[in-house]
Amino acid sequence: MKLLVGATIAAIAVVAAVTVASGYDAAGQSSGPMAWKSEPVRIKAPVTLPHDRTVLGTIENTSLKLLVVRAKQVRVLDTEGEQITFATVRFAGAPGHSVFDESRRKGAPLPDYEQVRIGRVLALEGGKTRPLVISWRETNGRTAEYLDYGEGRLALPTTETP
Amino acid sequence: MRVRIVALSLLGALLAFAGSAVSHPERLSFFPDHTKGKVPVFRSTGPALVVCKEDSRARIKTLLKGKGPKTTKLRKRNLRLLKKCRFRHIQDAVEQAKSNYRILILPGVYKEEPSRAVPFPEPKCKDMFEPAMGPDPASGGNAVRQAFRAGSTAGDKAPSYEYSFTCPRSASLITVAGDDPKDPDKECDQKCNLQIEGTARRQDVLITSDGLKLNLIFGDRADGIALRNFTVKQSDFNNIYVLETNGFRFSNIVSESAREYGFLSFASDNGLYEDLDASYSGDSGIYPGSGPEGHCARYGIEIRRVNSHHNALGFSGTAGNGIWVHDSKFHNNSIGLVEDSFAPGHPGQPQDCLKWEGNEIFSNNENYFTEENQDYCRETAKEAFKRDPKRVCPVFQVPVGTGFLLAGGNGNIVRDNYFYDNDRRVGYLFAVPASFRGEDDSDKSYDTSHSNQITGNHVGFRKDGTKDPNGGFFWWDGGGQANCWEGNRFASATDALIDVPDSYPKSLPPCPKGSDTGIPQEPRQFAEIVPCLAWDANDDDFSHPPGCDWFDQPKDPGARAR
Repeated sequence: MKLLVGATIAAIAVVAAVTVASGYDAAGQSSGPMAWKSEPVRIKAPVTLPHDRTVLGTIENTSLKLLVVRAKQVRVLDTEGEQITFATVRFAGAPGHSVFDESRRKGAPLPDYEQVRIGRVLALEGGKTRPLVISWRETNGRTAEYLDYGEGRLALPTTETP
Repeated sequence: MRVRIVALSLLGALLAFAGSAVSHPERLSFFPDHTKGKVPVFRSTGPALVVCKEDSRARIKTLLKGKGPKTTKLRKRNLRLLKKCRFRHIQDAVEQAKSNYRILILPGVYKEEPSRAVPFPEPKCKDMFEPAMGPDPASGGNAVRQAFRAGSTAGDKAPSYEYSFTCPRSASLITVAGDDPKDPDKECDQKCNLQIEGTARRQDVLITSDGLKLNLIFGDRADGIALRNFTVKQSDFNNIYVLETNGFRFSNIVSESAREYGFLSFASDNGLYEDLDASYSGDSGIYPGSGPEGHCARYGIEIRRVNSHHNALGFSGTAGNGIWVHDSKFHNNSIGLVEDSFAPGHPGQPQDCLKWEGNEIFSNNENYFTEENQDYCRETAKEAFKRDPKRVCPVFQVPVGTGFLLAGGNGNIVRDNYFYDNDRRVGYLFAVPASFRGEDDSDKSYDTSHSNQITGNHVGFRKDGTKDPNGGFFWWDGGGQANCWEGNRFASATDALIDVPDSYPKSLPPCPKGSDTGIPQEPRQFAEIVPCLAWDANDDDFSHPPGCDWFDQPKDPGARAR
């Protein structure tokens, strides 16, 4: 019994330590190959848009396989698992616009490498990292908790970084 | 340390942000040898070809009527020249011209119908394309190659020099191609030092493609080209454009309603822009990009007495190095001036050694990012020539209400300018890592945003001394070494507001020592701008992304402070 109590206390301590170390309250757990490489920050900004939130951080492909994700196919989910539609995801580390003027391309998609460069597509080898930026607007108190990217889910911090 | 790592990784995201001007499809370009060129001097004598229209006589008599000695002299000169007119189209005269010729254009509207009739691409030149500047298709590395099928990463193509030389009426109304492609020197051999000028007032000669041609006047390796005294309107890309040109001069020209650029020089040197009026461009009114490569030892392009207004960007230039901009006005744009290092394929990066001095940069609050305007621009994108010429359709996202923005520049000087009535703030300064311009060398991770000096500016003052506040002074990422601010004069507390990392004292480091940090410190700092990455002119879902207020009209602080 004493051992069990000790183990429980130790487990709680570990969880608390992890929580403190990570610096955010991840309400859920991530699954799949995408993981935060370093502590993401969640920010309520800018002041002119009081309902908007942004999470900034660096992700790592923790698998040995190449991870390919298209930002448009990523769903930002709230605590109920419902999609927040007014949200954007960019695998930053790339400019937000292309060097090719898309309005002139008559429906032809940008080259793949360019979509990677501007963060619309993630093509990440195992063990490699990439910045990630997610923004959304909170309505009716619904806040983002996960990214669902097909191969897994990535937990987001649910409280603002002090 | 962890904060630093996050900061660094987020820095990349920063790049995404704002708008400079990178969507011009040049071929991979080289810098001319500046020691072999010089800014041309206008000539009033020498061989000349005269161009006129059927109604030029009537226009001369109507437009130049009056008995004053100046008008009389100008009218008589034009009537004399009319007798020598042998051409109805400017390009016809260009094709007959030799080096050191003048092409004199009498009053009229020049639509250059023979050039309009030539398609782009022209069948006989269809194989004269080469890889366009831009990201290297191999830049994504193994991951991209593994992720996508072979062949799907083919890059875009741009017309080669041979294309300009062989099919001069295809991409442009008027092309001056000076290099003989039979020799390998890439220097001007024929049609060098060409002078193309209107013979009356600049409003009396109009050259327009009604939005149907990519360029109106294109100088390609056209060393010594000199243009003056006319108006250009409505290209589908650039109104006036020089590329790989050693020695050029744009003087006393009005440029309106270019789909993207009013005046653009690229990989060119020994240039002078003077007495220009640039307006209603979807990108920049004035764009000297890529070079000259003076590296603070010289200014290879001078820009003076320019009035750039009602564009998305008054001025910009990826890798716009060695440029001296003075005694000019940049106003009523969405943003006044931008310099940057975040577009792959632009030679000369990282950007360095520009000087903005003695300019007036004011009222850059035009919001071309309203939902209504963006809807209009999307709906008309495929037939842009039908657009209202005074509707500006922005190509890149910028923070509306801003004086200037330096993204990844070194050794720039911003001195003795008047900044007023820019409702968001005067300026931004932040670093851009090399990976964003397609260089993966880790030694270059922190090679931008150093040694920039912002000194002696008049913040919140008009030139006559009247107070007219900005929304704030500066947004700085806290990075770089030897960045300094000193001697700036503020009209009000509002004008002195700064936004720097929380870990910094609420003052900007003075000159000459300036900042001593190598990298940005505070990821929170980026939250204001990173979400603006997601803006996409062509996608309604991303026309006003969450977390980004750049496209919201900032409040005019004037009422508060005046």
